[in-house]
Amino acid sequence: MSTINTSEGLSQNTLSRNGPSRNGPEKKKGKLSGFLQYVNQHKFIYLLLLPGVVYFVVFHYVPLYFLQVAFKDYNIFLGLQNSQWVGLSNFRDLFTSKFFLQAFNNTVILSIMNKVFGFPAPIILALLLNELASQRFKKTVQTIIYMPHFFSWVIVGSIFITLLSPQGGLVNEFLGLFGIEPIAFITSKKWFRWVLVFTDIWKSCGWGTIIYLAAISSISPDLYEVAVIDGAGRLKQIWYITLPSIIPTIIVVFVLGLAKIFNLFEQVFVMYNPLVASVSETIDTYVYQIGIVRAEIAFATAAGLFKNVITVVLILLTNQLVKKIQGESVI
Amino acid sequence: MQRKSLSNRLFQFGLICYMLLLSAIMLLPLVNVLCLSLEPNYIAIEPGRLHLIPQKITLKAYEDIFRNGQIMRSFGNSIFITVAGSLLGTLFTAMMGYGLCHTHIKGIHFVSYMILFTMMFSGGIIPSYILVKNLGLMNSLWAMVLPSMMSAYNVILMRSFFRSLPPELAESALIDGCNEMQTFVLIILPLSKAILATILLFYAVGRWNSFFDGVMYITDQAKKPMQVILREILIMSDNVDTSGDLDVGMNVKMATAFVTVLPILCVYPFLQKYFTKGVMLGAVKG
Repeated sequence: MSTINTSEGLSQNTLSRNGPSRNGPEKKKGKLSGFLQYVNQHKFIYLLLLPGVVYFVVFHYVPLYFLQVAFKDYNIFLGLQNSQWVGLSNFRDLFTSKFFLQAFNNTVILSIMNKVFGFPAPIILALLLNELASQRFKKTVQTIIYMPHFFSWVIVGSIFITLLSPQGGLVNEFLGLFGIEPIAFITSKKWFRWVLVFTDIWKSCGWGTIIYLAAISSISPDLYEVAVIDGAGRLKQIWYITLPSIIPTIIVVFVLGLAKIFNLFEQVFVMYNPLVASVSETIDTYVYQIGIVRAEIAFATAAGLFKNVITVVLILLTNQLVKKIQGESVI
Repeated sequence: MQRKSLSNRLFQFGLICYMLLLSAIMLLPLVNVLCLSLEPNYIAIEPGRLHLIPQKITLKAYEDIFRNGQIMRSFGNSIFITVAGSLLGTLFTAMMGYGLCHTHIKGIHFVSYMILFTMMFSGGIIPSYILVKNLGLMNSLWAMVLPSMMSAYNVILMRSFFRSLPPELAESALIDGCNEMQTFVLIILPLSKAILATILLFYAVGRWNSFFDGVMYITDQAKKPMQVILREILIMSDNVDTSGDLDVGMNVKMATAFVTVLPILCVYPFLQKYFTKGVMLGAVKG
């Protein structure tokens, strides 16, 4: 930081030295040229930022302008400008649509299942990895469990559809060894949500441990020494020292993770099928089906916007809650 | 003392067993895919067997893939998307990350907030689709490069890294007569090789695995990326002759999946060297 402070100091000195002469006779012009001078002085930094700023404006802010479609009776032939404003009528249609309500319901249920089972998984795994005595064994296990994070959902989905197939899939063949009849996991309404939750954990729980392991490694060893003297065993050390020490990290990961809580597209899209759509169609896949496949743009935009607003409200509420309990907010 | 070390050893033993089981759950699916891809189709679809060690090895499925024009073309598309996307993304991310360190310059704070906001709120699927359509990028490979070229998370990561460098570096370079550009290119960037490699690999893996953009923006068969073609092959019913030259059996499906995952497996050892560092840097708040 202070690198920059130095260069700043230099440039501001030059600026103020040049200042008076510029601001002399023509005040109006001076303001503009002062601004240009300032930009010119820091032009390298501004140039560095330029491509990034253009990218974020074009690909992240211009789409926000198109959100107005949600409040219009969008007609692709009339275009955006000429389409009629219809207020909240798209949203009214949304909440009377059986399929949207079903998708909303599924999204909430799947997110809760993902959080309840998927969120603690990397924490527990990190605690256990930390207890391994052999560092080499620990490294090997880490190498293996981080890997699925880098596979695409198309790959993971296809692997599990093959594995769970009732016709010769590895899992059913294995269960068959114990005399269990083949289970059609992928096409069963009873099982499919669990398949989604499990595959999500399979793909991401190893990767999720990294941040917790980093937090654990920064705990002072003195704490453990004292605990050992006081006669605390392994489990007590985990419960009374390790876990409380990483709670701030857990909270940050939880709150930041909320931004993606309702993003249930690729995984569901590559794994679901008509037989289980009623228990797994999420808002994201619904938006895709309605908006892109059936071209009901306005309706789909409204559904997407609704999801995003709910997400932001959820993040802000949780952040407030954390602030109340902890005295410090995450964002 | 004796009893304690015994219970400790039992604890370690249990832990090791658990970790071995876990590693098996992570690895076996991949072994299964590889095994199925190497077996002749009639064995691969035979029920009543655990396909973990191939009974009979044939490379026919792989030969079929490499002779198939569609698959090879999509492979080429994915390579273009990955190379272009990761190089441009890393370049602009590094530039922006360094620029954002200069918080004393007017507008920098604003740009930082502007980026953070995009992590929380986005237009969503349809507005992005309208944008890409309006930009005339439909059915262009650039539609798979540009919309997700940079990630706010990586920009913040880069900024955290540059902030962690000792400030004396740039100071002394400036005193020695470097201008700001020389300082950045000759002093700062060479010291950032590890983080640049991390971000390059993050972007590359992201581009290689990108599927949704392909489904949304590409309808021209010749322009589709590997992941989309893989998906199309996987959902074909068995033994349907596709474009006339590819018999899609279980072995071909699994071989395509394995070929798609192979580049990831190849860069994984390099990736592993860096990513822990990357994730930890990202954990620095703000």
